[in-house]
Amino acid sequence: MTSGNAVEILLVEDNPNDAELTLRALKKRNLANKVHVVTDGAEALDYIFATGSHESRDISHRPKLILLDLKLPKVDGLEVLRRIKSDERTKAIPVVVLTSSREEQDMVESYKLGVNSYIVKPVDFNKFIDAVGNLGLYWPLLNEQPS
Amino acid sequence: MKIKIRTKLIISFYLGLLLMMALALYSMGVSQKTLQESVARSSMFLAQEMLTRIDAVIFFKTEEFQAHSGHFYLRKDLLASNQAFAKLVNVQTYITQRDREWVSAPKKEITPFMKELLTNNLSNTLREELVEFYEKKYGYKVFPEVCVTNKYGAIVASTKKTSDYLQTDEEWYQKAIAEKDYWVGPIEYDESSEVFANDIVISLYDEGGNFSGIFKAVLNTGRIIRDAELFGREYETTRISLITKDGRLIYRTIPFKFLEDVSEKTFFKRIKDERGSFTAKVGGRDKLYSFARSTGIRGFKGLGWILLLEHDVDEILKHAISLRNRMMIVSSVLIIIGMVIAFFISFFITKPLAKLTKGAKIIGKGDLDHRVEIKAQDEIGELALAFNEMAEKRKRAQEEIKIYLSKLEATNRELDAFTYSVSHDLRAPLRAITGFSEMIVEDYGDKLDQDGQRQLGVIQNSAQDMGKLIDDLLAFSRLGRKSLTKSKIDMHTLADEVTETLQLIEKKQKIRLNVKDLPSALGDRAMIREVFVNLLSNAIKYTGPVKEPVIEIDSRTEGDENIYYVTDNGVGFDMKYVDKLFQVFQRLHSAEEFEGTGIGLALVQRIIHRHGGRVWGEGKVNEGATFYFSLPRI
Repeated sequence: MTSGNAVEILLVEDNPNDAELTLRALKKRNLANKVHVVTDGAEALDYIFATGSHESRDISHRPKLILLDLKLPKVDGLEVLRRIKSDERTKAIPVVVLTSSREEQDMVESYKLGVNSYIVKPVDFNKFIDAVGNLGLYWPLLNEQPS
Repeated sequence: MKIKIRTKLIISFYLGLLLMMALALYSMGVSQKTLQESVARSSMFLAQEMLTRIDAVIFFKTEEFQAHSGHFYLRKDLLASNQAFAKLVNVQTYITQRDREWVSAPKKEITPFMKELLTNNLSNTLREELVEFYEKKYGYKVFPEVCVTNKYGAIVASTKKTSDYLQTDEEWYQKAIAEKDYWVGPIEYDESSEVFANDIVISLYDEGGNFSGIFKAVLNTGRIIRDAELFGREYETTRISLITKDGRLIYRTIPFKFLEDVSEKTFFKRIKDERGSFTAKVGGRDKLYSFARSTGIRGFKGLGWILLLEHDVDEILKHAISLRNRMMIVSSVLIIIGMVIAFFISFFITKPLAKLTKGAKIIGKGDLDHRVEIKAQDEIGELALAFNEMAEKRKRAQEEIKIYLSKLEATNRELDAFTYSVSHDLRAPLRAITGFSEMIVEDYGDKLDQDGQRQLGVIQNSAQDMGKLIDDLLAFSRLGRKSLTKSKIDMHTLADEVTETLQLIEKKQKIRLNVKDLPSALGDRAMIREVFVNLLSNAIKYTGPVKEPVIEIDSRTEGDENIYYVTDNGVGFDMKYVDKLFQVFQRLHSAEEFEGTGIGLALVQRIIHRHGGRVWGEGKVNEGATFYFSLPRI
């Protein structure tokens, strides 16, 4: 979608509708062109660790934010989270779980693995837009990260 | 009073033994008495027998003497003497004179006159035939003395020197004349013969029937009786006494004094009638006396002697008593053995019973695999079998229950998981519907006419409704899967919290809300909070149309439960539909009248049921409603 170097936000979302809504929200904050979408856990890992289909990517160029859905095909969201947060190269990347699940289990597990924030996707469109928009502003822009 | 079976068994066993012993002792006593009586009776007859024999012995001797009295030579000599005396001028003078001479002579001296008398034919004959004959036969003088007097009373013949010549003053003389037949005198000590003897006298008559003289013999009764071996004894300690009718001892099996006077003795005084028996205590020992009086034999009247048998009761009963004593010893041994046997036998009953009881307790406590092992074939064994069968059935039933329970739980879990995943999975498309329809409004809204916009609005509203339904369903299902964290809840405080949360609505609608004192409960705070939230929201919602809405939260205690209730004066409901109220999504009003999904009460019911309580409602259309829930008292 975008050129690998300018990616600030990695969106890991298998549902194209949800992906479209999320992009729309980000677009409202003018962040849309800095988003790369992957549709499954394996591809997410490939992208983050510059393996497989994304071998050519420069791994040192880390995304400013990873929006992670938990229900993913191939590799599950929590597994992706675990991989990100346990690798020295990537654990500093802010990860926000953006999921439909309000399950206590998922929440507990995510925080255990070191998630930075856990957001439940609101059904209400406006609320959804607001939530995502704020995320987009906060993490990549407001939040400081080591280079 | 709790008495164990073993005790009952042992007691009844002993009662049985004691009864037997009592019976035995009683029959011992009775048989002793019977024995004593039979001994008394038989010795009575024995006494009688002995007396009869004694009478017989004397009688036969008398008979023999009588036989001699008919001898020809006796008559001849007597006749001659009477005739001679009749010729005398003065018989009396002659007799008196002879008598004086006789008596004045020294005792041992035999005068010529005497000698002549003692050695005349008659005397010699009598001596030979009666005295010496019987002496030779028996070894002692049966008839120590025999004499004859004529009709004047003078001695005609005698085998021994008599004490005087004239015999008319003698008792036997007078008795002989009176008796006419023969007379046996009482037993006395005969001085001339120096023996205890009876006089036998026979009066003699001539052919004309006139009295001609007296034939007298002294019968050595004392010796006869002693020698006759008349007294057989069954018991060694039995004493036999032969007593005259005035109480003089003639014979005794222990050393005695002949003619000793025993008339003053107690035993003698008790002798009445012809025969009998009695008991007396002599010298500390019980004695049984049996006696009989001689009644004579044939024509012989008898001497009226009394034969007394004195038995030592203890000796008679010796065997019976020793039998009794042996029985006592045997009984005591039997009792001890019986004690042991009863103890062991009771084990056969009580041990299996104890096993059964213990087994029952173990199974009752929950160990359904325990079985009672009893080898006995009797009723207890059958009971044990039945018992084990019961336990087996219970175990199987329990297992079946477990299976059903787990199936039920599995089904519930499946249902919950199903509900969850359905709701969850429904969310995403729902999000798309609301999102994209909003996008259409934003991007192409101006290109739509009013109706188009309205139609889009319908889609959005429907999606919103669906969202709420899904949320409610999700909450409901989550509740089923969540575990309870129980703690002590201050219900009043909780109710206040909830009312505060809802107060905006409350204030807007100007509701009078009263929270009374509520007892504490044990439960999951968050869940009970939900209960209050739901009930209060309902109450607020349904008092909306009312002019002066009043809501009250109160409680009461019933048995071991606390019953809390929320009551309002809202629109109420028809009791006909009370059951539907608590079902998921069931509503009694349309969404236009009152908003809501109809899951609130179902949620309340689920929470309270999980706490072990009950939920119910009461209402009257347009008058209000009260919803109750109960929690166990703490």
